Amino acid sequence: MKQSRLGLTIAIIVLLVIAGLAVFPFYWMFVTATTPTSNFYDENAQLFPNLANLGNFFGAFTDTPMLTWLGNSAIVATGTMVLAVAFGVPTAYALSRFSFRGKAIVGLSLFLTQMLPEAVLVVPLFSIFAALGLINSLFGLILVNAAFVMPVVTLVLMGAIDGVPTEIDEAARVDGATRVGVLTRMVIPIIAPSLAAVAVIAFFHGWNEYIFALTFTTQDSLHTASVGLAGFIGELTTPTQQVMSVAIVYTLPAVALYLLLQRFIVSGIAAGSVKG
Amino acid sequence: MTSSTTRQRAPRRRDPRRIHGLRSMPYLFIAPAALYLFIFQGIPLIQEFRLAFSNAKLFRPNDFDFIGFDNFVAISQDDGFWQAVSVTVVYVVCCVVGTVLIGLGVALLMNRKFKGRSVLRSLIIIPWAAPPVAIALIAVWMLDARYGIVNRALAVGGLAPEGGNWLNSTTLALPAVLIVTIWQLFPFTSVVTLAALQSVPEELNEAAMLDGANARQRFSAVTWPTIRPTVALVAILMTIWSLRRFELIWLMTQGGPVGTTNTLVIDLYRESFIIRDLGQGAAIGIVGLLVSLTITVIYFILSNRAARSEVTR
Amino acid sequence: MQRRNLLAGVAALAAVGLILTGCSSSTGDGGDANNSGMNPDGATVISFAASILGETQRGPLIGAMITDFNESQSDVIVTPVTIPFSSFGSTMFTQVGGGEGPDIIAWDEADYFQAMDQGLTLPIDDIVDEDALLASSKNEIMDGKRYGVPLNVSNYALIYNPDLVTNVPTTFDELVAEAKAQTKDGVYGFAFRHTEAEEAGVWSDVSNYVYGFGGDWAKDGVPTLTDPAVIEGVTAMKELYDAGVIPEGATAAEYRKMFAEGKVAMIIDNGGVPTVINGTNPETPIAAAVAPFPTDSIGEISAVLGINVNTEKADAAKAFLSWFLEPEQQATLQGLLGGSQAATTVPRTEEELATRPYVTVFDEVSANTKAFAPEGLEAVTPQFRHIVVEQLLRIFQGQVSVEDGMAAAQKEAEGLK
Repeated sequence: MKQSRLGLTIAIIVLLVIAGLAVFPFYWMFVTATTPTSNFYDENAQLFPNLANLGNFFGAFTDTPMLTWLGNSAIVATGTMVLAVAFGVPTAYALSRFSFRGKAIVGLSLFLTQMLPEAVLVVPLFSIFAALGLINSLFGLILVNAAFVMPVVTLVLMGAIDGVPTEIDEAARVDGATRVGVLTRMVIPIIAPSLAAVAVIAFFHGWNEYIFALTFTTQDSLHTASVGLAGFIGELTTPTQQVMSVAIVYTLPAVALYLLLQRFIVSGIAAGSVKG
Repeated sequence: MTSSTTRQRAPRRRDPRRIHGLRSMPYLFIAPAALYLFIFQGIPLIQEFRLAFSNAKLFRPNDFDFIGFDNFVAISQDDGFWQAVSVTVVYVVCCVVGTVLIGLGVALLMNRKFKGRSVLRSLIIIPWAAPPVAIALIAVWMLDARYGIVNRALAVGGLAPEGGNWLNSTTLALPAVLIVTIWQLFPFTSVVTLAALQSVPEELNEAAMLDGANARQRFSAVTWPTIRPTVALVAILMTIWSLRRFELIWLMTQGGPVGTTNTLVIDLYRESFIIRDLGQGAAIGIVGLLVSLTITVIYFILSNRAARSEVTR
Repeated sequence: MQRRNLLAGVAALAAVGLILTGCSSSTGDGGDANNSGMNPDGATVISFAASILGETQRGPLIGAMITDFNESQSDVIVTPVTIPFSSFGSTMFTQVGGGEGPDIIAWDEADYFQAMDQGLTLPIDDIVDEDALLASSKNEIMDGKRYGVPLNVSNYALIYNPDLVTNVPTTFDELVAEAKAQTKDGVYGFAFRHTEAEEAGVWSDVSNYVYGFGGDWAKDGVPTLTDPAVIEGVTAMKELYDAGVIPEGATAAEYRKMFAEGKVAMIIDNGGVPTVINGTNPETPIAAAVAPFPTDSIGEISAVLGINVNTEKADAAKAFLSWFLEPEQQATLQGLLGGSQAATTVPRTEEELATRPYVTVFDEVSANTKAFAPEGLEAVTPQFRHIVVEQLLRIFQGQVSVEDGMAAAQKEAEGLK
């Protein structure tokens, strides 16, 4: 395909600028975390990280309950991922393969759940949780987070399964496989990239979630990192450098996981959305 | 989704993509999820509707009287509510237009082969992966009136706002919040649009070039029709999601200064948890939901119409 | 074959994940009000929530007191609960409203009034000796019964950096002049809260000006927001805002840290702040003086201890509170609070007067302090506060004049029930 060299060069430059803007705030978190306090409230504060101050990071680990928070976030995120995918796969398969009464309504309802802001449902949910004894429980957080991200998982997977030719199902059934067997042994492996994509989406949802984690847990020992980090706002005894350190450590796993799996995610989401 | 609704309208034909199995099997597959969603979203939603017609307070959420439409009347007479509506509209429109346009632009730029493309793509995706709480924190610091890096950079070109105020300025707070939101969301639209671009049939493009079409004509004749459904889907998703955005705005401005960043979600949160009037908070929430619903319905009608016209073409 | 292994692996991972989460919900459960929370040794476990527990200096010291209590007897074990300061009130009301919540809660005073009025705290007359309490501790009484006792009381005064201030102001005009004189070279002469995100803080700050100029928010349950003294107080604060002497957009966290770094010369703030500033930077010179308002009236902010009405362990909670109010504990508490005061009158130690001479200023103004609440309307302080602050912020942004803003607030406040 013929391209003008100039056009390509301009495109690359623009993309580099955009990539730079995308990454800069994270760089700035790092710079802020390593700025010595003497230089902090200075209009000419340093522009580059001062590696001598990496000790600030260690301070964040020892002076704050960051490790506990991160552990809680990991538990909630993993549980959300497992539960949302576990519920989403059979639902997506049914929506893709079967035709049945009420199917359109189910599909539409799933889409409609995307409109529900957490803030609207948090108070009634609190009453329900209190009645079920799920307050101050990471399991409760997993349950509610998975509920909110499952529709997205289902819709994306549905699109992906739509892309799997039904001949595969037919062939397996001719060989004597049950419907469930078809699903698990034939379809799932084919849509593995999409599965990775939705797994990551669900994981992020649990990792990043704030309102429910804030309202449904009271003790610091149960707080997720999002709540712990937000708790630093308006609190003056923790130095900003430590707060930024916690922010970086909280951001890294999500970004790292994403980068690792991004090939799958891109193709997975594309498979789901282009078909839709 | 467009294709499934199209199929409902088309004359009943044996659809080779559908398998007809046991009558009850689909319900078995779906029942767990349906029950699950009903408990965690359906029931709270019903309760929220009840609260909207009550005088419940945060400290006695279950002990209330029904007061009919009083809450709705109260909020319709409150200037602050209408401000929230207009802020929400501006916020959503700018978010959608911003993310879709930037996403389209980035996708077009990336839709060529060059060395290091996958590295660039990885970098551009990063904002979407970051937790909103962390982003809010660093954004507030970067926008600090005195020591923020944004003002320092702008000062070099003489562009820093007077007083340096971003998040405390009635004019600049909303743009600032929008920029941060779009920064976080554009990777999603870029990635999805890029994937759609890559499914544009290459032969059509080459045929158009041979016919002497320039870039713009090629785009409108070949590229755009192929990616239009995806862009439409992305647009509707962005619309619905931006109506839900909470953490970024709350942690950056709490809806201030003087309500210039007060979207409906922020307003209902403040009404429920700071003013502690659950009834009014629920009423605001219901209004927000109706707005979302209207937009979604309009989208479905329009996309159905478009799909139907494509079928008949 | 490979796929089967992959799926088996995923299934195993999922199982492990779910088991882990199931385990985690049973640990780390500090004994909420509706939990049986019985220790195998038979001790009752109760939870105690206070935002001060999250402070890096004073928090662990109070935690140490709690540990002392736990070790001093074997009937009750108290578990501290840390909740972020910014969401303390809303989190507590959500929990308590939902029938849950920690057994003992250290309410912000404004929230305490509403909690008391709504019957969310239990009476504690049987464990409190009224005579030993500070004069300002009368606020926690309703209909002759006492429902709470202060954890700490912090009075407001002028806090300044003696290295940066040349003339310590004694009148308001002197304050404005000195603030202007010291605003230069990256240093700000003054600072106060003025952003939406800090509604409670703005309310405290503006109340000091209103009280200081002789005004009140309400009299006998009737809002007095258009009284000349109130208008004068708000106008004075607006004067400072317009004078360009404060770091705009800065939250209290930021400007207190700036003070610790010598970037802010003066603030009108509460007695707990010097301790915190010293914790941030021990080198910062700090001094205090009576706030330079025309009258002696000034505000105080308290954290009020109340027993959650939802608790099933009221006796254990009372046992802890009684212990906490004993003279020995109050002395320990006073020692760690710095410029704040404990609920009972405790004389300052020689050592403290030597290392922290400014504490005497905060103690001296104790007799003239008022709570940040509208008289007669304390139960709706949070809602009243929201109305006033909303208009105040509009006044600061120049969208409305002081008179019009306060008139609008008056009208809205009169609609409060």
